[in-house]
Amino acid sequence: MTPPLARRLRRLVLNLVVMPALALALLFPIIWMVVVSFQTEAETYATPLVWWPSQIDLRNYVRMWEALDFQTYFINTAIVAGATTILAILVSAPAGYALTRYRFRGAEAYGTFLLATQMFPRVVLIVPYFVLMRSLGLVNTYPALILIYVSFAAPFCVWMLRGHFLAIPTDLDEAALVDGCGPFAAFWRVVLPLTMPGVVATAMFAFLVGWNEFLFALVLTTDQKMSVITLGLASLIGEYRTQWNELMAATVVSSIPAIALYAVLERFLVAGLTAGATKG
Amino acid sequence: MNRYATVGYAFIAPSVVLIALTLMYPMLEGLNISLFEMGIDFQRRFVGLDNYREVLTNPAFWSTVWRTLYFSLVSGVASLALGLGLALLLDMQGLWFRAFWRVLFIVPWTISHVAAGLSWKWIFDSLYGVANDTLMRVGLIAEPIVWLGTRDWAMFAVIVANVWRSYPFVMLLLLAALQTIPRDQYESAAVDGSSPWQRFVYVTLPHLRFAIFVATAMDFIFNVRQFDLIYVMTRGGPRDSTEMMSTLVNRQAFEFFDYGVAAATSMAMLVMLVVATLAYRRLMRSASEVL
Repeated sequence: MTPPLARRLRRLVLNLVVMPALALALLFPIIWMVVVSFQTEAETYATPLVWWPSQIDLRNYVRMWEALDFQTYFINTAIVAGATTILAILVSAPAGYALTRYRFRGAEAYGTFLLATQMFPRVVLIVPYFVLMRSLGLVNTYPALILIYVSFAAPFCVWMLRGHFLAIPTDLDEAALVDGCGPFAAFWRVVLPLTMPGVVATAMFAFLVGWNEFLFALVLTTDQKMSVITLGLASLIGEYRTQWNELMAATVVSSIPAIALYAVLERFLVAGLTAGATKG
Repeated sequence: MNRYATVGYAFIAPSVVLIALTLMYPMLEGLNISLFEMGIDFQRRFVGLDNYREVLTNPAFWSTVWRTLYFSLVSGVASLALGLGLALLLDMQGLWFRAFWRVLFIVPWTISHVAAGLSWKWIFDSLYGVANDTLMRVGLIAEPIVWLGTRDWAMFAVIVANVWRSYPFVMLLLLAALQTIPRDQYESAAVDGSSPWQRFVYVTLPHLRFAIFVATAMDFIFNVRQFDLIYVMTRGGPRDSTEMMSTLVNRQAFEFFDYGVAAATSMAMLVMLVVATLAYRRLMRSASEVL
């Protein structure tokens, strides 16, 4: 066995040297993104590089918000991601509930099938989905994006919510049914309110699916007024002269909600993710 | 009892309709489109299997298949190494602020691929990028490297960015599996005089086998369908050096307006992905019998 002193020393090195150094290295691209977003144009385009901006310059943030019209992109993204969230919960909560409470033929297969849809290469859908949306006149509209994002988010939402419904004793809804509640009321009025923390976590996940998506936004949007953030960011690099300090400011702002929500959500996600992964 | 089942079906009905509408129908429609010549006017002209013949006899298609496979496998191995290493660290006894570090380490996974791609694109900028600046300061290179403008370096750069964006997923799955290993198994192994390496091979790895299979299989599929990062960083270039199947489909459809060929390419991609996943499952099964 290792002597106590050596072990204590190793523990100190792990906690005070290894972990902080690793965190710094792994988060460097994000730190750098923030640093560049505060630089003036002269600092961004200086050789050798300016590692630290001379002052915290917020002009990039103001400019990308107003002149580059990220305001519009944020509103569009919030609408799309918000609607995705509501619809994904409405679709997936009853399904997740049914998978825990009702025995019907194909229930288990359906759950597995939903997980399998997560693996589906989405690029296979872009041509037919675009053709379909075009014939419906839905290119450059919110519903075109919302519909496909709901379908990306819902299967995993079903699994996340299923886990939360499992934790609620079945006696509760059975008592409600005995008391004359309909099956839907038992679910909607009795069980769902009890799983609110789980619903909130699932909603955050669905929101982020809509917030971060790019491929379908690229294909289904040609009108800049309907552009979402990811598309707005990507379209700037094609420009004649990209102002990287402003672009990085926009990237930082677009990443803040994602990082914040995931930090809260992480615990719930792990439970959902590992539902299938750890059962050997 | 019968009524019970009916209620169950009613509860899943909305999700069934959604999946049918957004996944099953487009997939069948994609299969349909792949049999037609369809250009910018969206007029369909039936051509049978001509699109498939055109795709499958095109050497550029096959080099894109191999390139995608290379990108996915190299990324996958690197993500596994990094994810496993970090998961083991996060599972170590005597680690302070475990939850804090875990949240910090998953941050790359939370931001959009577009944001990640932009950040790395600027890091790898040949003139003002911090990668060249650092390497030149420490004297590893004398001349700046044109990362995203040289064939091999562009592939290297997109793999680095991709691994950075995807290791947390592998890490989370493996960490969850690690935490299910009973501590006393390590302790009794330690009492028996085993080295840390032996404990890793004989106690840890067998417990992780299934999680490693799931994590690597899912990560592989995510890599194969990676589009955003490549599109943002290189658009498949220079020339075709980072062109992947997903960027190829997008190009065929929305740059060349050859929707039939794009649909045929994506169907071929789907078939190959299914075959690869099944083959991998079989491989893991036979490997676990040997172990």
